[in-house]
Amino acid sequence: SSSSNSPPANSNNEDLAAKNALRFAPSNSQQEQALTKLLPDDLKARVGQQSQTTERIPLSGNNSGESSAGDGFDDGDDDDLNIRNLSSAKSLIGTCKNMCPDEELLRREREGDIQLLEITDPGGLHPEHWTLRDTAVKRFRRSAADFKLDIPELVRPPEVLERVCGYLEEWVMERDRQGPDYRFAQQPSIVPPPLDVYQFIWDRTRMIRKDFILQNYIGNGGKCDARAVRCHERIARWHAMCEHQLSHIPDFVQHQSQQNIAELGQTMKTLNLYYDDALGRSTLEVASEEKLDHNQGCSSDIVMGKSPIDFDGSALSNATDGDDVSKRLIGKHGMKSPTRGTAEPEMRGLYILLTMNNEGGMEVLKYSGRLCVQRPDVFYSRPVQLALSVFQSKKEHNYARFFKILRSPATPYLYACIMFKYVEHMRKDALMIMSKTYGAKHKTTGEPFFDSYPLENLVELLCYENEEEAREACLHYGITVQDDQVLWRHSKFCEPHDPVKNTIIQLKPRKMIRTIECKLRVGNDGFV
Amino acid sequence: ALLDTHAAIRTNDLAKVYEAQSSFHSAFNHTFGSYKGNWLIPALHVVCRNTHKAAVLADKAVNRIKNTRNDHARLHSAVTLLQASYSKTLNDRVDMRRNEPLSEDGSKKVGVLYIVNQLFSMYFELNTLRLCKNLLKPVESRGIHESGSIGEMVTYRYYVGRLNMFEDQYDLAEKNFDYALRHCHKSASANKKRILNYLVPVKLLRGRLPTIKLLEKYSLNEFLPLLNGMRTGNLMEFSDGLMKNQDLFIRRGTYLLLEKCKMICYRNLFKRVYKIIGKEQIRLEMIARSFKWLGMPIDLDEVECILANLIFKQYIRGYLSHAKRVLVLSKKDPFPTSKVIKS
Repeated sequence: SSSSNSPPANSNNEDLAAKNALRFAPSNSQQEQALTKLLPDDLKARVGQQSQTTERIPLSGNNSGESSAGDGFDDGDDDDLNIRNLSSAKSLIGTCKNMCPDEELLRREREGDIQLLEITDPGGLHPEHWTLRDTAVKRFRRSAADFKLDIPELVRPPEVLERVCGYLEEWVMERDRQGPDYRFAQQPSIVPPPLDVYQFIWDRTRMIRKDFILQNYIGNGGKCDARAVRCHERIARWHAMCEHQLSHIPDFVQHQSQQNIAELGQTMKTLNLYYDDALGRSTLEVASEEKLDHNQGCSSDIVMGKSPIDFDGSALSNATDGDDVSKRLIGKHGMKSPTRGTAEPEMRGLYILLTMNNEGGMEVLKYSGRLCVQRPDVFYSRPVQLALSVFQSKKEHNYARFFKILRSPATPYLYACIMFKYVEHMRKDALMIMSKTYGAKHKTTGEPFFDSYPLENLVELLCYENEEEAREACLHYGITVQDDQVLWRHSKFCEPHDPVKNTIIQLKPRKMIRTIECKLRVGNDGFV
Repeated sequence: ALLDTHAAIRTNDLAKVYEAQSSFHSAFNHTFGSYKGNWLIPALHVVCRNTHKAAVLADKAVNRIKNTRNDHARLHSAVTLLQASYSKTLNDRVDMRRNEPLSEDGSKKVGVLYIVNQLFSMYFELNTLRLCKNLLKPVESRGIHESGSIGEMVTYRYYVGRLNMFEDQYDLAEKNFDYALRHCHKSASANKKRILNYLVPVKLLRGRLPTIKLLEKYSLNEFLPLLNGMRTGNLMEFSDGLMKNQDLFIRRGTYLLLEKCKMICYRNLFKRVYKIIGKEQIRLEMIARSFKWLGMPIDLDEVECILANLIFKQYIRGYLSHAKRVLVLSKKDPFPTSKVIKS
């Protein structure tokens, strides 16, 4: 009857979602009522009414918002008179004022398909007066033959989408680090599992991005403004951050990381379209209909609930004042920023870091070449130059430089999170090169000499967490370590091979708390 | 159809010109196929060349009007036309006999090389290089590239050289470009420059430096700072020079190759330090100092890293001692000359 099934070993998206759904058996009316109680009053009145299935039947007329051309709602007569001209088609304008459209909320409530992280807890986790309307968020769905997405009532306009970003950041994103969450009382762990929170945020932010696309926010030939840019930047930052923050979870590394990077790539692709907009609208602020807070969807400068504690037990800063708060681009301080809270240089640099391996390095060269010509102010900015120096050091196999940059306080946390993707490759390079170039072998006896290298130096050079990790890495690659010395010439570097699968066994780097996470602890410079 | 093309030219509408040319070419292909012999080849070549030109110009005009950069529809369609011409020449059953005048009995195969060259040029413009490979096999298996006019053979080698570069086959590229340069007509300096644009970087990577006279003769000024940097081991000059013309090199596709020449810069710098110090054991501190003189201060770990890379790639013969912070050079030939270097 209830939701506490043990999750299968290889959780894929659907399984995690199912695991999270609060599924009630129809016979259990008490639990059914519990959900209904959480609905806002105006929707309570509609419970039990026949579902309007607006999701399936096209709307009549154009009372709210305009339909996009060619969506099948057009009057058949028009076809005879005009040829549909795409260039005069109008963009869909969403009219849904809530984080989740009423239709969806009603349907999901009826089916008991409200996820744990969306359950309202008035007076507990959430303010007294909150209802499901304040906590439910539109889920990701693909359009299908029997389900159309581009209906104005179902699509949220940019102001609302910013609010969703703010809500997710303040009320949901840190749930895995804020201790027990009584909504998870029936679950194996009362602290929300990080992968569940990850899955939820990913799903909801994916729908945010989709709502923008549905409203034709595609840059040239479509719409573009600062709100779309800010939302995508926030989502991009979250994806980038997860790459490293969840790297201590093997399930994430093996099954989710690849997809996470792909989603980050998609988000950045859209951002590039915005920045490349011929009309330069990426910093254009649009006056919202309702003059809500000018806080870019943020209701607060801090995370709501208990101050988060990181996975290794260290406290995370959640203060309302301080340098890092007043310098923020997003939030009430963000409106001071000349770029309306957008950060093109930071994101361009991030894109470079993300695509360093594409086309053998040509993608970065072409990308930066274009930037240099078309946007020199961005090209010569600190973030982009930093990203290019990382690219350079990787290309030249300059592992000393790569790790120097990684450790440097001038390198922001987010950049370090993406550099993490290349750490193992650089370490492997270093070990391979050093194993052939330090020390020598006696011409006649073959005895190695002069090849000792203190292990602790290696730990520093390649930013290992500790000597244990460095020792393990040397062992993995066939390099001899005796006591506290690496002896480069005593054995040959080689990559272990799996004879059964016929693949190379990859070594996954440990989460870099000492080098990367520490950037969150100290007041970091960032890009102001 | 030919008259239509001429009429279109007078309207100054480049898209129309291409359309007319395209119909004409199509009709010509058909005609060409139905006549015995190869006496129509010269005409076919002219038609191909004109189609190519018209397509490029038409695309440019359309892009200008639409304010885009990526509309290559006409060039794509021109490719199809030339591919048809190519197959009509290649698949001629008559055996090719070299150096015979054109006649009704001759093989159409003599016309292949010219069309292949046109197609190469178009594929490079469209950046569809994999299609070039489809042309290589049939041509080389039939030995078509070894006969024909010198002009055709030179052009062919030029494009194949560029393809080699794309696949990092620099040895082959050097051979092909060398041939092209040697056989290029004395007065065709524009073509020689085109060849040198690619031959110079390839040779640089092998450590063969051009003379300043050569660079000046063909206005290859973009290579001057690179040359100086490599000769004297001046990293700054090399890096600056590379950055200044980054755009140009990227467009030509030679940037990554030139980047690799940095290694040779390092090698020459260290060789100078070695010559100055005169001993086989060089303290890493000395090398760090040479970087400082160039205005690029560096720490010992990074010095070790750069040296390790050079030793690994066999530009330097020797080894490092971390404990003593020293580079120990081989007594014999510590800086092997470039002939020995594997690219």
